[in-house]
Amino acid sequence: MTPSKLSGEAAVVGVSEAEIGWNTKLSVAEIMSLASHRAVEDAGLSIRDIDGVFAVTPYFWMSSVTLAEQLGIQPRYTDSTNLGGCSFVSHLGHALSALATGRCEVALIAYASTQRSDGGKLVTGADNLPYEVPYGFQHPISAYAMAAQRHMYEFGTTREQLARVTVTASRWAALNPVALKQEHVSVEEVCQSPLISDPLRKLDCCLITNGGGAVIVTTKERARKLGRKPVQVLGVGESHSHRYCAAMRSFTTTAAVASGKDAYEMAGLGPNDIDVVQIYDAFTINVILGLEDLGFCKKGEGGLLVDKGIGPGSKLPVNTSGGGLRYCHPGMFGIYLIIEAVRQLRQEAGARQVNKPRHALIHGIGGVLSGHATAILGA
Amino acid sequence: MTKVNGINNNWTVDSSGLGSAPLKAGLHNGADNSGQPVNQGEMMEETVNRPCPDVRGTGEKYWASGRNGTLSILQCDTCEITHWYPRPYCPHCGAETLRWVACSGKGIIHTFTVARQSGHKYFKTKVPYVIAMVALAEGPLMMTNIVDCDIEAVRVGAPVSIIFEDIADNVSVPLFTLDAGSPS
Repeated sequence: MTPSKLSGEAAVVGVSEAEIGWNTKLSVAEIMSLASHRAVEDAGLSIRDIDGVFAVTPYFWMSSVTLAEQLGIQPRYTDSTNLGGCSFVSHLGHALSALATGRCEVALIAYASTQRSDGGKLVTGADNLPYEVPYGFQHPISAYAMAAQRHMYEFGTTREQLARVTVTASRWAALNPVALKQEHVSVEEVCQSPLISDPLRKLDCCLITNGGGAVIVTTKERARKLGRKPVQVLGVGESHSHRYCAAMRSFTTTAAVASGKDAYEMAGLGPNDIDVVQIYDAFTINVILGLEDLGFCKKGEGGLLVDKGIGPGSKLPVNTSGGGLRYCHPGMFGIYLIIEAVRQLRQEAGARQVNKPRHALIHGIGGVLSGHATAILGA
Repeated sequence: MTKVNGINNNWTVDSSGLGSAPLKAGLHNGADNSGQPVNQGEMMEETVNRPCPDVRGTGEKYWASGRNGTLSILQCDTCEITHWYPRPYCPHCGAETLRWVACSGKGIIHTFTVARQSGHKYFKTKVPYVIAMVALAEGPLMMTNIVDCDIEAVRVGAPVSIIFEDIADNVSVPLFTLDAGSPS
């Protein structure tokens, strides 16, 4: 069986956020549960229909098991795979395989974190590599900062181009009523925000918020019976080139090349077929690297593509929700990439709606440019 | 139990669980092995030392190697590629026969960042400090700090030389300094 046989065998039929914000009175498990219930409602299904559970959050050692307990369900397929913040895009691919092979019929993918209420720190289960311990490596920003520095050296990417990623995100966020940062920012504001880890400044970094999210995926046959238009899973791919920054062999090319290639091949599509793009923007450099590695421009020209325009009204709309930079970032943003792509393809994205998109590409990045997962969805 | 580390919204590191070393730290290049700092430029707090790694495993010899001023890394007998950090099988070809080779101590800064803030009990006394990936003359990239220099003079492509900080009997941390007269 070739992967292309899987293309379109599953569809996303329900999505929801929960408790996106700065404060919450709910627990992490309760937020995952709330998001899950809203997503099955969105799908026109019942929580009792779920027989596959996919979840990960740093709060629970056995995330999918904890979530199933909270929901009161006993699944026949379960997956707590952790590739960092891209995990949910990876789960989408795993769910496609499980659904297409009959291992489950209705899959739930869910996430939550209350890191903002827990003291405004990034909550992460990240461990320390002994070879990084003596050097004051700061997870994860040091790695992304060194990627940005090398990209600027090799390709002449400018400080202003990095800033323009945040500026563009702020334009999208202003069109998203649930984005937590609604105000526009300028290149100057980004470039004058405090240096955190050269060359990255405060406004190059994602928000630190609470939030949960959930996605329901089912077989194409089951999806047809539901009330709303299904969003097909056309292609998926995943890879990782390293875990720790210390083992990175390239600071300018990522395993997105590999995950993207698999996703395009499964879908039988290429970058020119993509109408809307969601790339995990934990830091501004991510978007530049992602656009290059996923074939939207040549290596080294990501900054120029950002200059050309990836905002509202542009030919290549990127991170239409406002992204982790301006919408929300509870620590593992990947679930929101799927949610936004689905809303765009259903054409229910309100003021930020892209004109009749047929294909959306999602790319999640986890750890320190470590885990990569790509998915292509179709209307 | 899941270990939940914390990094605050100013992107600083929580140091909980990291060990500290019994010896007073001192930088040396092998010529001076007295344990006295050759660099007095940084103020050290008496009781807070550079965090000490867990040296168990293949890397034990690596961490100890710098005491005499020469860093040892692993080279594969089969594919001849040197790698960093030390692993028991070659990460390039999978072979299990590896040999320790002495590094020249020379390298080039491949990329770097300047950490401007830290919540770590040791590193907050060091900000701003330079975290870098150095391309060793022998081939692999390694993580390190660039020390004893004007941090604003640190550049990608700059040649650097190794120096060691002994933080325990069996742990000499390899660090690098900018070579004199390197272009800025």
